[in-house]
Amino acid sequence: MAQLQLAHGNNLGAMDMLRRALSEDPDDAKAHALLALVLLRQKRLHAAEHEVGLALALEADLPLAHTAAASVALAQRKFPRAEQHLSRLLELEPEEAGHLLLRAQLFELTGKRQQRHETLKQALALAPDDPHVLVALGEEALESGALRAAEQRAREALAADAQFLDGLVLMGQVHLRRGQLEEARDHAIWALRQNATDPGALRLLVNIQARRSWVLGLWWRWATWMETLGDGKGMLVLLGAYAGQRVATLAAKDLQMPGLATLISLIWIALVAYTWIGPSLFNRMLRRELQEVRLSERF
Amino acid sequence: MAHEASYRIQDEPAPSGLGHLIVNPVFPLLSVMLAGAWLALPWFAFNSFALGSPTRRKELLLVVAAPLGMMALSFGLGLLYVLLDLPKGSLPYFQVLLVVWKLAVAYWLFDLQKRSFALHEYFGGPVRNGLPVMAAGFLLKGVVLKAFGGSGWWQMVAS
Repeated sequence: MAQLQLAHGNNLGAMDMLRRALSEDPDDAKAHALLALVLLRQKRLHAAEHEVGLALALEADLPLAHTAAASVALAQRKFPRAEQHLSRLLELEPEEAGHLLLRAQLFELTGKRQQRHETLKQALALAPDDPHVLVALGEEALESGALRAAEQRAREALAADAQFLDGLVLMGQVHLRRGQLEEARDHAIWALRQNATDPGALRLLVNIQARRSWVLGLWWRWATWMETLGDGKGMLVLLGAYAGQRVATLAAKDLQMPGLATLISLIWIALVAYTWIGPSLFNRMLRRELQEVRLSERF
Repeated sequence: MAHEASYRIQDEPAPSGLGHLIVNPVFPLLSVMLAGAWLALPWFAFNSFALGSPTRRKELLLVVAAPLGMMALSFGLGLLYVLLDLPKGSLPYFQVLLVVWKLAVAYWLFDLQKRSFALHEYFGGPVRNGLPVMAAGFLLKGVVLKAFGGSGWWQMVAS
């Protein structure tokens, strides 16, 4: 049941069930592994890592535990550890296309494009109608600018499963790249009707809005960049910017250029105000867009 | 923080009896800028205990490290100033380094505490408004810093 909830994107329901299961049987390795996957979705990486450790200690060769371990390691950008779990996973279940997709993700994150492509081809050979594999190939095509190929893969994925969220999002991304904002938006809304919390669909919607307004677009690019840096490096960038601004202001004053010093201070204040107000404006915009989303009956 | 089921996930805070005094850690963070470390650091430490933060040991270490680091930095920079016979105009540049250190520790504390706070809030735990304390700290800043003595050195650590 928890697995079903997880598949439907109901993290809270899945977590509640897993809590119950683990209260009754704390040695249930599968429940620990599933809980790790739920925590991973909530970006609670330390807790997810802890649950993975418990699952593997209880059952060292449980494929689900290795899947969770590899996924958590990928999220933590601990690539050698991810590779270790993926290798074991593929030894245990060599015919599983999903595992190859995870390995392709590892190659993507480590910049090994050729190996990623070959791994995706292997996955396609194993599961030619698997929409996950088709979308992964479509995303690869999209990244290299092959829009027609990406569209083709999205169509194939949607032919395999018309309600497949990642397929809808991929199609939306293709439209967005072509500058067809309305079509892209329709796909984002369509996907959000299936799952109002789908991160891919929300990201697509935000990307569309960012394209419509340069003020918000600038903030979105800044926020995305900071997110890719992570908390530690992001903090260093902010502190560096602050120190740079202060030193520049002091230097301008020392050089008898009070006008420049004032200008630097004003730019800094504007930047601070913009990054302070930016998120609220963005959230308001997103809320307005999401008002059009209706939840599916299944949800 | 009550769950129907009792299994506790590692990163979930276990609020103490002071749970009703928990504030959003953004208030201690802003207090560093508006009131000073004298208010912000003890507040971070208190909030950490009240939240039952799973990273409270690390947070407390940072709270202790912040003034010690300030002292070490001030001493080092002062020594540099004397040894190199730098002009008086270089002092404001040194102060930037001290402020950056203080902000870095405060951001780090905020980052650690915001995770526990988010979970506390998510499970419907009570949250106090920290604005009155921060405003009071802002108004009392001058008086408190004066109480730290006239040498300027302690004031710098507490500010």
